[in-house]
Amino acid sequence: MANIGVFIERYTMTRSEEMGAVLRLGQAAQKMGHRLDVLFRADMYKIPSYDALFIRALTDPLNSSYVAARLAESNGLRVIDDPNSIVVCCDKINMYRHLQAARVPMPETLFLAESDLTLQNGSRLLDTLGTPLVLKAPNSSFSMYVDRVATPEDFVRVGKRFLRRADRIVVQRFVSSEFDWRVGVLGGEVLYVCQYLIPKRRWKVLTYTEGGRVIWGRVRTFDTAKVNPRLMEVAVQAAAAIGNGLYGVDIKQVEDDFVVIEVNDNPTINAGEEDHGTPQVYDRLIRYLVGEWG
Amino acid sequence: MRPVIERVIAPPQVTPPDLRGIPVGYLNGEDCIVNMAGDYRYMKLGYYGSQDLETTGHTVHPTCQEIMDAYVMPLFLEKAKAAGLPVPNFYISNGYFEPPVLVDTVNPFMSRHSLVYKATAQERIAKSLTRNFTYAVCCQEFPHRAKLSYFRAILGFSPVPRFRALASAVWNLYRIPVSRVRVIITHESEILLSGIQPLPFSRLSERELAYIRKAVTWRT
Repeated sequence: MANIGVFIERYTMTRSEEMGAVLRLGQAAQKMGHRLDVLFRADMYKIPSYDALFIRALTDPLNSSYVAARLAESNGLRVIDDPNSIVVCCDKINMYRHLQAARVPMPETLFLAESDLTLQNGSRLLDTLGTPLVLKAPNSSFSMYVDRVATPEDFVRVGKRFLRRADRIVVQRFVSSEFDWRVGVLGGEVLYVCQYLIPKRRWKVLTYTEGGRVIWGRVRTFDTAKVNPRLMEVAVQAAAAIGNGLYGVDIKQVEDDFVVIEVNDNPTINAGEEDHGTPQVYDRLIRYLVGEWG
Repeated sequence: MRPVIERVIAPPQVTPPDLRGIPVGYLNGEDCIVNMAGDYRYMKLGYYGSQDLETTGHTVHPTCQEIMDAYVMPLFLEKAKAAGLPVPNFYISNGYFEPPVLVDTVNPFMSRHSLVYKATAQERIAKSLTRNFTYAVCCQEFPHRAKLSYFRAILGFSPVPRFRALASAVWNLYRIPVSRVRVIITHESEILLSGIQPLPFSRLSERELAYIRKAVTWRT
Protein backbone atom coordinates (compact mmCIF):
# COMPACT_ATOMS: atom_id res chain seq x y z
CA MET A 1 0.00 0.00 0.00
CA ALA A 2 1.28 3.45 -0.89
CA ASN A 3 0.54 6.70 0.91
CA ILE A 4 -0.31 9.45 -1.54
CA GLY A 5 -0.61 13.09 -0.56
CA VAL A 6 -2.67 15.60 -2.52
CA PHE A 7 -1.40 19.10 -1.90
CA ILE A 8 -4.18 21.67 -2.11
CA GLU A 9 -4.21 25.42 -1.69
CA ARG A 10 -7.66 26.39 -0.49
CA TYR A 11 -7.72 29.69 -2.36
CA THR A 12 -7.24 27.99 -5.72
CA MET A 13 -10.00 25.41 -5.21
CA THR A 14 -13.00 27.43 -6.29
CA ARG A 15 -15.32 25.00 -8.10
CA SER A 16 -17.08 21.94 -6.74
CA GLU A 17 -15.98 20.04 -9.89
CA GLU A 18 -12.34 20.45 -8.80
CA MET A 19 -13.03 18.95 -5.37
CA GLY A 20 -15.16 16.29 -7.06
CA ALA A 21 -12.13 15.20 -9.05
CA VAL A 22 -10.02 14.89 -5.88
CA LEU A 23 -12.75 12.75 -4.29
CA ARG A 24 -12.85 10.48 -7.36
CA LEU A 25 -9.06 10.19 -7.17
CA GLY A 26 -9.39 9.16 -3.53
CA GLN A 27 -11.93 6.49 -4.46
CA ALA A 28 -9.62 5.15 -7.16
CA ALA A 29 -6.72 5.01 -4.68
CA GLN A 30 -8.82 3.17 -2.11
CA LYS A 31 -10.08 0.68 -4.70
CA MET A 32 -6.47 -0.06 -5.66
CA GLY A 33 -5.43 -0.56 -2.03
CA HIS A 34 -3.68 2.76 -1.48
CA ARG A 35 -4.28 5.60 0.93
CA LEU A 36 -4.81 9.19 -0.20
CA ASP A 37 -4.67 12.18 2.15
CA VAL A 38 -5.36 15.81 1.40
CA LEU A 39 -2.50 18.04 2.57
CA PHE A 40 -2.76 21.77 3.14
CA ARG A 41 0.04 24.28 3.52
CA ALA A 42 0.41 23.67 7.24
CA ASP A 43 0.94 19.95 6.53
CA MET A 44 3.94 20.56 4.30
CA TYR A 45 6.36 19.20 6.88
CA LYS A 46 4.62 15.80 6.52
CA ILE A 47 5.51 15.48 2.82
CA PRO A 48 8.69 13.39 3.40
CA SER A 49 6.58 10.72 5.10
CA TYR A 50 4.54 10.05 1.93
CA ASP A 51 5.37 7.90 -1.10
CA ALA A 52 3.99 10.27 -3.72
CA LEU A 53 2.57 13.76 -4.02
CA PHE A 54 -0.07 15.12 -6.40
CA ILE A 55 -0.33 18.89 -6.53
CA ARG A 56 -3.73 20.42 -7.11
CA ALA A 57 -2.94 24.09 -6.58
CA LEU A 58 -1.93 27.03 -8.69
CA THR A 59 1.68 26.34 -9.58
CA ASP A 60 4.34 29.03 -9.76
CA PRO A 61 8.01 28.73 -8.83
CA LEU A 62 7.46 31.46 -6.25
CA ASN A 63 4.41 29.83 -4.66
CA SER A 64 4.21 27.28 -1.86
CA SER A 65 3.08 24.64 -4.38
CA TYR A 66 6.59 24.74 -5.86
CA VAL A 67 8.06 24.36 -2.38
CA ALA A 68 5.88 21.28 -1.91
CA ALA A 69 6.99 19.85 -5.27
CA ARG A 70 10.67 20.46 -4.60
CA LEU A 71 10.46 19.05 -1.07
CA ALA A 72 8.78 15.95 -2.44
CA GLU A 73 11.36 15.48 -5.18
CA SER A 74 14.34 16.00 -2.89
CA ASN A 75 12.88 13.41 -0.50
CA GLY A 76 12.56 10.86 -3.30
CA LEU A 77 8.77 11.00 -3.75
CA ARG A 78 7.12 10.61 -7.14
CA VAL A 79 5.51 13.96 -7.73
CA ILE A 80 3.03 15.52 -10.15
CA ASP A 81 3.94 18.25 -11.03
CA ASP A 82 7.64 17.78 -10.77
CA PRO A 83 9.57 21.00 -10.03
CA ASN A 84 11.26 21.12 -13.42
CA SER A 85 7.92 21.01 -15.23
CA ILE A 86 6.70 23.87 -13.04
CA VAL A 87 9.80 25.95 -13.77
CA VAL A 88 9.49 25.33 -17.52
CA CYS A 89 5.73 25.61 -18.01
CA CYS A 90 5.09 28.58 -15.72
CA ASP A 91 7.42 30.72 -17.81
CA LYS A 92 6.20 30.84 -21.40
CA ILE A 93 9.63 31.92 -22.65
CA ASN A 94 11.15 28.75 -21.21
CA MET A 95 8.21 26.60 -22.35
CA TYR A 96 8.30 27.83 -25.98
CA ARG A 97 12.07 27.41 -26.06
CA HIS A 98 11.66 23.75 -25.14
CA LEU A 99 9.01 23.34 -27.85
CA GLN A 100 11.17 25.07 -30.45
CA ALA A 101 14.19 22.98 -29.55
CA ALA A 102 12.10 19.81 -30.00
CA ARG A 103 10.74 21.15 -33.33
CA VAL A 104 7.15 20.92 -32.17
CA PRO A 105 4.74 22.51 -34.68
CA MET A 106 3.61 25.85 -33.28
CA PRO A 107 2.79 29.36 -34.51
CA GLU A 108 5.79 31.57 -35.15
CA THR A 109 6.97 32.83 -31.79
CA LEU A 110 9.52 35.45 -30.80
CA PHE A 111 10.76 36.75 -27.47
CA LEU A 112 11.10 40.46 -26.86
CA ALA A 113 12.84 42.62 -24.29
CA GLU A 114 11.98 46.21 -23.42
CA SER A 115 14.34 47.64 -26.05
CA ASP A 116 12.42 45.71 -28.76
CA LEU A 117 9.14 47.47 -27.99
CA THR A 118 9.27 50.19 -30.60
CA LEU A 119 6.72 51.37 -33.16
CA GLN A 120 9.09 50.31 -35.95
CA ASN A 121 9.38 46.77 -34.56
CA GLY A 122 5.62 46.62 -34.05
CA SER A 123 5.03 47.64 -37.64
CA ARG A 124 7.58 45.14 -38.93
CA LEU A 125 6.15 42.27 -36.89
CA LEU A 126 2.58 43.06 -37.95
CA ASP A 127 3.78 42.95 -41.56
CA THR A 128 5.71 39.71 -41.23
CA LEU A 129 3.59 37.71 -38.76
CA GLY A 130 0.23 39.15 -39.77
CA THR A 131 -2.48 41.17 -38.05
CA PRO A 132 -3.38 40.82 -35.24
CA LEU A 133 -0.43 39.62 -33.19
CA VAL A 134 -0.78 37.87 -29.85
CA LEU A 135 1.26 39.21 -26.95
CA LYS A 136 1.71 37.15 -23.80
CA ALA A 137 3.30 37.89 -20.46
CA PRO A 138 5.52 34.89 -19.65
CA ASN A 139 3.70 34.03 -16.44
CA SER A 140 0.18 34.35 -17.79
CA SER A 141 -2.34 31.70 -16.85
CA PHE A 142 -6.05 31.15 -17.32
CA SER A 143 -5.95 33.45 -20.39
CA MET A 144 -4.91 36.46 -18.28
CA TYR A 145 -2.16 38.72 -19.61
CA VAL A 146 -2.72 37.44 -23.14
CA ASP A 147 -3.86 40.10 -25.59
CA ARG A 148 -4.23 40.74 -29.32
CA VAL A 149 -2.76 43.85 -30.90
CA ALA A 150 -3.47 45.20 -34.36
CA THR A 151 -1.46 48.44 -34.47
CA PRO A 152 2.13 49.38 -33.64
CA GLU A 153 0.80 51.73 -30.94
CA ASP A 154 -1.09 48.88 -29.25
CA PHE A 155 1.95 46.66 -29.64
CA VAL A 156 4.04 49.12 -27.61
CA ARG A 157 1.30 49.90 -25.07
CA VAL A 158 0.32 46.29 -24.30
CA GLY A 159 3.93 45.12 -24.44
CA LYS A 160 4.99 47.68 -21.85
CA ARG A 161 2.09 46.69 -19.60
CA PHE A 162 3.18 43.04 -19.74
CA LEU A 163 6.81 43.96 -19.10
CA ARG A 164 5.81 45.08 -15.62
CA ARG A 165 5.56 41.38 -14.80
CA ALA A 166 8.80 40.17 -16.42
CA ASP A 167 11.79 41.36 -18.41
CA ARG A 168 10.71 39.50 -21.53
CA ILE A 169 7.44 38.89 -23.32
CA VAL A 170 6.21 36.57 -26.03
CA VAL A 171 4.89 37.67 -29.42
CA GLN A 172 3.15 35.07 -31.53
CA ARG A 173 1.32 34.75 -34.82
CA PHE A 174 -2.46 34.69 -34.21
CA VAL A 175 -4.27 31.50 -35.19
CA SER A 176 -8.05 31.82 -35.30
CA SER A 177 -10.31 28.96 -34.18
CA GLU A 178 -13.68 28.16 -32.63
CA PHE A 179 -12.16 25.86 -30.04
CA ASP A 180 -8.88 24.71 -28.55
CA TRP A 181 -8.09 21.05 -28.34
CA ARG A 182 -6.88 20.13 -24.86
CA VAL A 183 -5.00 16.85 -24.71
CA GLY A 184 -4.05 15.55 -21.28
CA VAL A 185 -0.77 13.63 -21.40
CA LEU A 186 0.70 11.61 -18.56
CA GLY A 187 3.95 9.67 -18.69
CA GLY A 188 4.16 10.14 -22.44
CA GLU A 189 0.67 8.73 -23.14
CA VAL A 190 -2.62 10.46 -23.86
CA LEU A 191 -4.87 10.56 -20.80
CA TYR A 192 -7.90 12.41 -22.18
CA VAL A 193 -8.93 14.58 -25.10
CA CYS A 194 -11.41 17.40 -24.98
CA GLN A 195 -12.30 20.66 -26.68
CA TYR A 196 -12.54 23.97 -24.89
CA LEU A 197 -15.06 25.95 -26.92
CA ILE A 198 -14.43 29.64 -27.42
CA PRO A 199 -17.48 31.70 -26.44
CA LYS A 200 -19.21 33.64 -29.24
CA ARG A 201 -17.70 37.04 -30.11
CA ARG A 202 -14.54 36.15 -28.09
CA TRP A 203 -11.17 34.81 -29.13
CA LYS A 204 -10.04 33.09 -25.92
CA VAL A 205 -11.51 30.20 -23.95
CA LEU A 206 -11.64 32.39 -20.88
CA THR A 207 -12.46 36.09 -21.06
CA TYR A 208 -12.47 38.59 -18.20
CA THR A 209 -14.91 41.44 -18.80
CA GLU A 210 -14.27 44.97 -17.56
CA GLY A 211 -16.99 44.42 -14.99
CA GLY A 212 -15.01 41.54 -13.51
CA ARG A 213 -17.20 38.79 -14.96
CA VAL A 214 -15.48 35.64 -16.24
CA ILE A 215 -16.84 34.11 -19.44
CA TRP A 216 -15.93 30.45 -19.80
CA GLY A 217 -16.17 28.31 -22.89
CA ARG A 218 -17.93 24.94 -22.66
CA VAL A 219 -15.95 21.70 -22.42
CA ARG A 220 -16.66 18.87 -24.86
CA THR A 221 -14.96 15.53 -24.24
CA PHE A 222 -13.93 12.90 -26.77
CA ASP A 223 -13.18 9.23 -26.82
CA THR A 224 -9.43 9.00 -27.46
CA ALA A 225 -10.04 6.10 -29.85
CA LYS A 226 -12.08 8.35 -32.11
CA VAL A 227 -9.90 11.44 -32.51
CA ASN A 228 -7.37 12.13 -35.23
CA PRO A 229 -4.16 10.24 -34.30
CA ARG A 230 -2.11 13.20 -35.57
CA LEU A 231 -3.63 15.36 -32.79
CA MET A 232 -2.40 12.92 -30.16
CA GLU A 233 0.97 12.53 -31.84
CA VAL A 234 1.55 16.29 -31.72
CA ALA A 235 0.40 16.46 -28.10
CA VAL A 236 2.73 13.67 -27.01
CA GLN A 237 5.62 15.30 -28.87
CA ALA A 238 4.93 18.62 -27.12
CA ALA A 239 4.65 17.00 -23.69
CA ALA A 240 7.91 15.10 -24.24
CA ALA A 241 9.65 18.41 -24.95
CA ILE A 242 8.91 19.39 -21.32
CA GLY A 243 9.19 16.14 -19.39
CA ASN A 244 7.47 12.89 -18.46
CA GLY A 245 4.79 14.17 -16.10
CA LEU A 246 1.21 15.36 -16.43
CA TYR A 247 0.51 18.10 -18.96
CA GLY A 248 -2.43 19.74 -20.67
CA VAL A 249 -1.43 20.49 -24.23
CA ASP A 250 -3.47 23.23 -25.94
CA ILE A 251 -3.63 22.75 -29.67
CA LYS A 252 -5.31 24.59 -32.51
CA GLN A 253 -6.44 22.78 -35.62
CA VAL A 254 -5.45 24.31 -38.96
CA GLU A 255 -7.29 22.37 -41.64
CA ASP A 256 -6.05 18.80 -41.10
CA ASP A 257 -2.98 19.61 -39.11
CA PHE A 258 -2.33 20.83 -35.60
CA VAL A 259 -0.23 23.53 -33.95
CA VAL A 260 0.61 23.67 -30.27
CA ILE A 261 -0.42 26.88 -28.53
CA GLU A 262 1.02 25.97 -25.17
CA VAL A 263 1.80 23.20 -22.71
CA ASN A 264 0.39 23.58 -19.21
CA ASP A 265 1.63 21.84 -16.13
CA ASN A 266 -1.03 21.11 -13.53
CA PRO A 267 -3.84 20.88 -16.08
CA THR A 268 -7.41 21.16 -14.92
CA ILE A 269 -9.10 17.83 -14.23
CA ASN A 270 -12.68 18.49 -13.20
CA ALA A 271 -15.28 15.90 -12.34
CA GLY A 272 -17.73 15.59 -15.22
CA GLU A 273 -15.54 17.59 -17.61
CA GLU A 274 -12.04 16.34 -18.50
CA ASP A 275 -12.81 12.91 -16.99
CA HIS A 276 -16.13 12.54 -18.84
CA GLY A 277 -15.89 9.53 -21.11
CA THR A 278 -12.46 8.61 -19.75
CA PRO A 279 -13.10 7.50 -16.14
CA GLN A 280 -9.82 5.59 -16.20
CA VAL A 281 -8.05 8.96 -15.76
CA TYR A 282 -7.96 8.47 -11.99
CA ASP A 283 -6.72 4.87 -12.10
CA ARG A 284 -3.88 5.94 -14.37
CA LEU A 285 -2.96 8.86 -12.16
CA ILE A 286 -2.76 6.56 -9.15
CA ARG A 287 -0.76 3.95 -11.04
CA TYR A 288 1.66 6.65 -12.17
CA LEU A 289 2.02 8.08 -8.67
CA VAL A 290 2.75 4.70 -7.08
CA GLY A 291 5.29 3.90 -9.79
CA GLU A 292 3.37 1.05 -11.44
CA TRP A 293 3.31 2.84 -14.79
CA GLY A 294 5.00 5.71 -16.68
CA MET B 1 -2.98 21.64 -47.35
CA ARG B 2 0.74 22.03 -46.84
CA PRO B 3 1.15 25.65 -47.90
CA VAL B 4 -1.42 26.77 -45.29
CA ILE B 5 0.36 24.87 -42.58
CA GLU B 6 3.75 26.15 -43.59
CA ARG B 7 2.43 29.68 -43.33
CA VAL B 8 1.20 29.07 -39.79
CA ILE B 9 3.82 26.81 -38.34
CA ALA B 10 7.10 28.30 -37.39
CA PRO B 11 10.13 27.13 -39.22
CA PRO B 12 12.67 26.26 -36.54
CA GLN B 13 13.05 29.83 -35.41
CA VAL B 14 15.00 29.54 -32.23
CA THR B 15 15.84 32.96 -30.96
CA PRO B 16 19.59 32.95 -30.39
CA PRO B 17 20.81 33.64 -26.91
CA ASP B 18 20.99 37.37 -26.53
CA LEU B 19 22.57 38.12 -23.21
CA ARG B 20 22.01 41.88 -23.53
CA GLY B 21 24.89 43.05 -21.42
CA ILE B 22 24.70 40.39 -18.70
CA PRO B 23 28.27 39.73 -17.48
CA VAL B 24 29.02 36.12 -18.28
CA GLY B 25 32.37 34.35 -18.10
CA TYR B 26 34.16 31.04 -17.95
CA LEU B 27 35.07 30.02 -14.43
CA ASN B 28 38.80 29.34 -14.38
CA GLY B 29 39.62 25.77 -13.39
CA GLU B 30 36.07 24.52 -13.92
CA ASP B 31 34.38 23.53 -17.15
CA CYS B 32 31.43 25.87 -16.76
CA ILE B 33 30.09 29.33 -17.44
CA VAL B 34 29.14 31.66 -14.62
CA ASN B 35 26.40 34.23 -14.93
CA MET B 36 27.65 37.13 -12.82
CA ALA B 37 24.49 39.28 -13.06
CA GLY B 38 24.08 39.14 -9.29
CA ASP B 39 20.35 39.79 -9.52
CA TYR B 40 18.77 36.47 -10.47
CA ARG B 41 15.17 37.24 -9.53
CA TYR B 42 12.63 35.09 -11.36
CA MET B 43 11.88 36.41 -14.86
CA LYS B 44 14.37 39.26 -14.57
CA LEU B 45 17.26 39.68 -16.99
CA GLY B 46 19.79 37.80 -14.86
CA TYR B 47 17.42 34.82 -14.65
CA TYR B 48 16.90 34.86 -18.41
CA GLY B 49 20.67 35.00 -18.91
CA SER B 50 20.99 31.61 -17.20
CA GLN B 51 17.95 30.28 -19.05
CA ASP B 52 19.44 31.40 -22.40
CA LEU B 53 22.61 29.49 -21.69
CA GLU B 54 20.92 26.41 -20.25
CA THR B 55 18.51 26.00 -23.15
CA THR B 56 21.34 26.29 -25.65
CA GLY B 57 23.17 23.40 -23.99
CA HIS B 58 25.78 25.25 -21.91
CA THR B 59 26.83 24.25 -18.42
CA VAL B 60 26.07 27.37 -16.45
CA HIS B 61 25.80 28.45 -12.83
CA PRO B 62 23.36 29.30 -11.55
CA THR B 63 20.82 27.15 -13.38
CA CYS B 64 17.16 28.14 -13.16
CA GLN B 65 16.63 25.48 -10.51
CA GLU B 66 19.67 26.63 -8.51
CA ILE B 67 18.18 30.13 -8.58
CA MET B 68 14.85 28.94 -7.23
CA ASP B 69 16.53 26.79 -4.55
CA ALA B 70 18.39 29.86 -3.33
CA TYR B 71 15.78 32.58 -3.75
CA VAL B 72 12.67 30.74 -2.47
CA MET B 73 13.14 31.04 1.27
CA PRO B 74 11.85 27.68 2.57
CA LEU B 75 13.89 25.86 -0.08
CA PHE B 76 17.01 27.86 0.80
CA LEU B 77 16.64 26.88 4.46
CA GLU B 78 15.77 23.23 3.74
CA LYS B 79 18.83 22.85 1.50
CA ALA B 80 21.15 24.42 4.08
CA LYS B 81 19.70 22.24 6.83
CA ALA B 82 20.09 19.08 4.74
CA ALA B 83 23.74 20.02 4.07
CA GLY B 84 24.42 20.53 7.77
CA LEU B 85 24.82 24.31 7.57
CA PRO B 86 23.54 26.22 10.61
CA VAL B 87 20.04 27.66 10.18
CA PRO B 88 17.42 28.83 12.68
CA ASN B 89 14.27 26.81 13.33
CA PHE B 90 11.77 27.65 10.63
CA TYR B 91 8.25 26.82 9.47
CA ILE B 92 5.76 27.72 6.75
CA SER B 93 2.60 29.40 7.91
CA ASN B 94 -0.68 30.77 6.59
CA GLY B 95 -0.14 33.82 8.75
CA TYR B 96 0.15 32.76 12.37
CA PHE B 97 3.57 33.09 14.00
CA GLU B 98 5.03 33.81 17.39
CA PRO B 99 7.48 36.72 17.76
CA PRO B 100 10.37 37.22 17.89
CA VAL B 101 10.44 35.94 14.33
CA LEU B 102 11.82 36.84 10.92
CA VAL B 103 9.06 36.53 8.33
CA ASP B 104 9.64 36.23 4.56
CA THR B 105 6.97 36.22 1.87
CA VAL B 106 6.42 33.15 -0.31
CA ASN B 107 4.38 34.39 -3.25
CA PRO B 108 4.82 35.67 -6.80
CA PHE B 109 3.65 39.19 -6.07
CA MET B 110 6.01 40.51 -3.42
CA SER B 111 9.42 39.81 -2.00
CA ARG B 112 9.66 41.28 1.48
CA HIS B 113 10.68 40.37 4.96
CA SER B 114 9.85 41.70 8.37
CA LEU B 115 11.53 41.19 11.72
CA VAL B 116 8.69 41.01 14.25
CA TYR B 117 9.52 41.44 17.92
CA LYS B 118 6.12 42.19 19.42
CA ALA B 119 3.09 39.93 19.55
CA THR B 120 0.85 42.98 19.14
CA ALA B 121 2.22 43.48 15.60
CA GLN B 122 1.64 39.87 14.59
CA GLU B 123 -1.78 40.14 12.94
CA ARG B 124 -1.10 43.40 11.09
CA ILE B 125 2.17 42.15 9.61
CA ALA B 126 0.74 38.71 8.84
CA LYS B 127 -2.17 40.27 6.97
CA SER B 128 0.15 42.46 4.93
CA LEU B 129 2.77 39.82 4.06
CA THR B 130 0.23 37.11 3.20
CA ARG B 131 -1.98 39.48 1.16
CA ASN B 132 -4.91 39.08 3.48
CA PHE B 133 -4.00 35.55 4.56
CA THR B 134 -3.99 34.15 1.02
CA TYR B 135 -0.34 33.28 0.48
CA ALA B 136 2.26 31.59 2.63
CA VAL B 137 5.02 33.08 4.73
CA CYS B 138 8.23 31.47 5.88
CA CYS B 139 9.00 32.14 9.54
CA GLN B 140 12.44 31.87 11.14
CA GLU B 141 12.62 31.87 14.91
CA PHE B 142 14.77 34.80 15.96
CA PRO B 143 16.87 34.05 19.03
CA HIS B 144 16.80 36.41 22.02
CA ARG B 145 19.36 39.25 21.67
CA ALA B 146 20.38 38.09 18.20
CA LYS B 147 21.25 40.52 15.38
CA LEU B 148 20.48 40.46 11.70
CA SER B 149 23.54 40.95 9.50
CA TYR B 150 24.62 40.63 5.86
CA PHE B 151 27.76 39.80 3.93
CA ARG B 152 28.62 39.79 0.25
CA ALA B 153 29.72 36.53 -1.32
CA ILE B 154 31.51 36.48 -4.68
CA LEU B 155 32.26 33.00 -6.06
CA GLY B 156 32.79 31.75 -2.52
CA PHE B 157 34.85 34.73 -1.45
CA SER B 158 33.90 37.31 1.15
CA PRO B 159 35.96 40.44 1.75
CA VAL B 160 35.21 40.01 5.48
CA PRO B 161 37.41 37.27 7.00
CA ARG B 162 34.77 36.31 9.58
CA PHE B 163 32.37 35.24 6.83
CA ARG B 164 34.83 33.57 4.45
CA ALA B 165 34.13 29.96 5.45
CA LEU B 166 30.39 30.51 5.16
CA ALA B 167 30.76 32.31 1.81
CA SER B 168 32.64 29.30 0.49
CA ALA B 169 30.01 26.87 1.83
CA VAL B 170 27.19 28.94 0.30
CA TRP B 171 28.89 28.93 -3.11
CA ASN B 172 29.55 25.19 -3.00
CA LEU B 173 25.96 24.43 -2.05
CA TYR B 174 23.88 26.93 -4.02
CA ARG B 175 26.18 27.89 -6.95
CA ILE B 176 24.99 31.50 -6.89
CA PRO B 177 28.08 33.43 -8.06
CA VAL B 178 27.19 36.85 -6.66
CA SER B 179 24.97 37.33 -3.64
CA ARG B 180 24.22 39.23 -0.49
CA VAL B 181 23.86 36.66 2.26
CA ARG B 182 21.63 37.34 5.23
CA VAL B 183 22.68 35.84 8.55
CA ILE B 184 21.46 35.83 12.11
CA ILE B 185 24.24 36.32 14.65
CA THR B 186 23.22 34.96 18.03
CA HIS B 187 24.22 36.44 21.36
CA GLU B 188 26.73 33.57 21.61
CA SER B 189 28.25 34.73 18.27
CA GLU B 190 26.95 31.72 16.35
CA ILE B 191 26.27 32.61 12.70
CA LEU B 192 23.03 31.15 11.29
CA LEU B 193 22.28 31.30 7.56
CA SER B 194 19.04 33.13 6.96
CA GLY B 195 18.70 33.91 3.25
CA ILE B 196 20.21 35.04 -0.04
CA GLN B 197 19.41 38.33 -1.69
CA PRO B 198 20.31 39.88 -5.05
CA LEU B 199 23.55 41.86 -5.35
CA PRO B 200 23.64 43.47 -8.81
CA PHE B 201 26.99 43.29 -10.58
CA SER B 202 26.99 47.09 -10.98
CA ARG B 203 27.20 47.46 -7.20
CA LEU B 204 30.37 45.43 -6.71
CA SER B 205 33.39 47.13 -5.22
CA GLU B 206 36.77 47.45 -6.94
CA ARG B 207 38.18 44.79 -4.62
CA GLU B 208 35.37 42.39 -5.51
CA LEU B 209 35.82 43.07 -9.21
CA ALA B 210 39.55 42.40 -8.88
CA TYR B 211 38.73 39.03 -7.32
CA ILE B 212 36.36 38.23 -10.18
CA ARG B 213 38.97 39.17 -12.79
CA LYS B 214 41.28 36.52 -11.31
CA ALA B 215 38.58 33.85 -11.18
CA VAL B 216 36.73 34.42 -14.43
CA THR B 217 37.68 34.76 -18.09
CA TRP B 218 35.10 37.00 -19.70
CA ARG B 219 33.11 35.54 -22.59
CA THR B 220 33.46 37.37 -25.83
